[in-house]
Amino acid sequence: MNYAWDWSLVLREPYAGWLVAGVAWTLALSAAGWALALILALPVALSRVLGSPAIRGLSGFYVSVFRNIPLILQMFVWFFVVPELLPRDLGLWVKRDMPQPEFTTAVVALGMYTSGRLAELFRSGIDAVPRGQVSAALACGLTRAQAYQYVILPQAFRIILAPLTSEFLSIVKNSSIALTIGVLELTAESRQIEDMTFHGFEAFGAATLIYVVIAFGLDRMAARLRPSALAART
Amino acid sequence: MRVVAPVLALCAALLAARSLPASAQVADTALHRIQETKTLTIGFRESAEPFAFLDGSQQPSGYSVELCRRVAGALAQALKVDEIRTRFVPVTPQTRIPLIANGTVDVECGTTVNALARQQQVDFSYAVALSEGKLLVRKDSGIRDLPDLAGKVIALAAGTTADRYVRTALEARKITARILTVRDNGEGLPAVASQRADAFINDAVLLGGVVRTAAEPDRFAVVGTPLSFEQVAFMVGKNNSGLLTVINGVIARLARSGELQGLYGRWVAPYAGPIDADTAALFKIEGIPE
Amino acid sequence: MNALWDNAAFLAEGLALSLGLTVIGVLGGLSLGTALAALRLFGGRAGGAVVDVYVFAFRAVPLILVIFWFYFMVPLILGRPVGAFASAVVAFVLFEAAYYSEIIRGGLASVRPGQMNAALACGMSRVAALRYVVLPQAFRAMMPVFLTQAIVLFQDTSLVFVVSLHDFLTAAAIVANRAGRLVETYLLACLVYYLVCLAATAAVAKMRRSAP
Repeated sequence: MNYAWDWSLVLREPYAGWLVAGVAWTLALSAAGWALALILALPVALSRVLGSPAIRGLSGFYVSVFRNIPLILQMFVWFFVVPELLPRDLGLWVKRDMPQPEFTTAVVALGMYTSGRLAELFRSGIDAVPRGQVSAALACGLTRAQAYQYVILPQAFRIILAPLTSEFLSIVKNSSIALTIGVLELTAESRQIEDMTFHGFEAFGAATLIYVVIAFGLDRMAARLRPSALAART
Repeated sequence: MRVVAPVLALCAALLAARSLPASAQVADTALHRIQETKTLTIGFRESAEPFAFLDGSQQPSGYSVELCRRVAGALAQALKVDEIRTRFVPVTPQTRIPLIANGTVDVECGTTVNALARQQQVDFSYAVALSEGKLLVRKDSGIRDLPDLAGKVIALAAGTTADRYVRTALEARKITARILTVRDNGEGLPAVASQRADAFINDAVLLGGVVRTAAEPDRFAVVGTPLSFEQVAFMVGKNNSGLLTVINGVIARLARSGELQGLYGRWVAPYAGPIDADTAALFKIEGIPE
Repeated sequence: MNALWDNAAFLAEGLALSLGLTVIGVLGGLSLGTALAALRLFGGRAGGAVVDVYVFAFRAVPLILVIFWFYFMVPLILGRPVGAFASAVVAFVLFEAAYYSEIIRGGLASVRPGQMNAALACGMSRVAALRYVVLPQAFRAMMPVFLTQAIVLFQDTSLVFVVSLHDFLTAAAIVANRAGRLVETYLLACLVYYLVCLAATAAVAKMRRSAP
């Protein structure tokens, strides 16, 4: 193999700046997508547990749609298809005038996709709390809503805290798919550096290292949030 | 802290990779590969009409592709074998240079502009066409030239020279416009058609090809004063003078016999108009004797 | 719809490639994943550490970046061409192996340690105890997770789009852009992925129910 190594390249301008910008976009995509996913997932999960059969069917369909279509294709649909199905002016606004069209579209795609996964996670957390607790709470005079709010959900939340951090790691990784619709996140920036300098090893190596550091931080956090670790502290 | 040590080890391994010994430079690796496998691996573009594209039956086709098929014939003669098969590998503007550099493809027959920065990584054949950067716009948009794009959205294919000269031109003329990065010509037209972008800037011949394949060609126009003057050529890996000699030989002989002009007329003229003075001069110059 | 019909064969070839990549990814990933799990079980501290790094690294990095690594960089390391299909296969196998080794570890952990002790007390060797007592139970616990992971992989194969390998999604994108029919083509692609995954999920659920 004939290759002129130059690891200092990723620390030089402009490439260091590109990597920093890439990390910033990756984190922004992940955080915004995560917020959207959380907001959507809780009602979906609750309606899957508590809703009437029709509502349960509907929320089940929601989850199955977002879980059974590849994220990259969902990204394409939000980017290429949805604006064409909207009323003309609104479609044009989505394509051109809304702030950061590519980024915003990617956030919606990431958020909706992740909401399907989170809804399933929330549901499994709720299912993990013994059923008898609802009856017990009802017997104590709590309403069903109160029983869930004060008894079931807090426990369910504790159970899923650790898997929730690994879901966050997933959204960080999945945010790389936004490069297919033109968002210059971390993977795209490393690609761009490779394109300009032809030093792929260094560019991809730097991006890999940054992802590993992010995953490592989340891994530490998850370890602290495991039920056993939480119990040890209280 | 179970993963700390392993992660540190991984980092160390990544850093240690820099001390890998660089093996001696071997010349003509592509030619050896071709001789061994009796196969010429051709990188081609899927949506760069008329140079290289997938035709109606999803087969590689076009001016550059046809020239490279002839290179395969010439290689069989040069290597004294009955036949050199061709294998086609799709490339995009972003993948073509790495794939040449890492040896996945022997020659890229698309619409790559010869540029000094690229010559650090790859070598180029004689030019097979000339290229001028222009704007693909919707006719009803009223856009005539670059200054009209102030405050508008410009689509550029990642990894093309247009990506660089357009940004430079915008900066030099103090025009602010938003850049939308698309993957390939195939995505440039839909971006303009759907009004996501106001102009797609690339080589004028390519843009002509894009318009011709559009569902409603009459809606689009290729406009503007040329933003660049460039040569389109085939790429091979560094240190492959053997393969390059065969390719240049094919181009020179075809140019001398007038066949190259014929091929250009058949493939490219429908998109770019009849052969112009510059291209005619280029082909005349390239027709070097035996 | 005409454009879709004209290109039905091209799209079908793409779907076949997606399924082929999935099958090879699952089989290769399972083999390598089993080897990794065995290395963790029997490889001592060093072996365990190697597997930990491997699994951690592949779980930390986006699959797109892994595909880029193998597509652009492996031929440079090997000094000979590998090709899009082969490099995608290698990327998927290595990537999936990390996940499968974790699934296998989880499956083995799900068998209560008392079972192993009981088998040893009955005079079975460690290997025999694993072979006849622990593995069969663990395998039953792992099976549905394996299949769910296979469905995830089927969806993930669409990421070869970034290296222009003609899987189903890439074929659909080519047809969509070429015919200028993005809406219909992408919606059809959604439907196909949805139905394939739904059918596979239903099969997994049926298997889970029929398991004792």
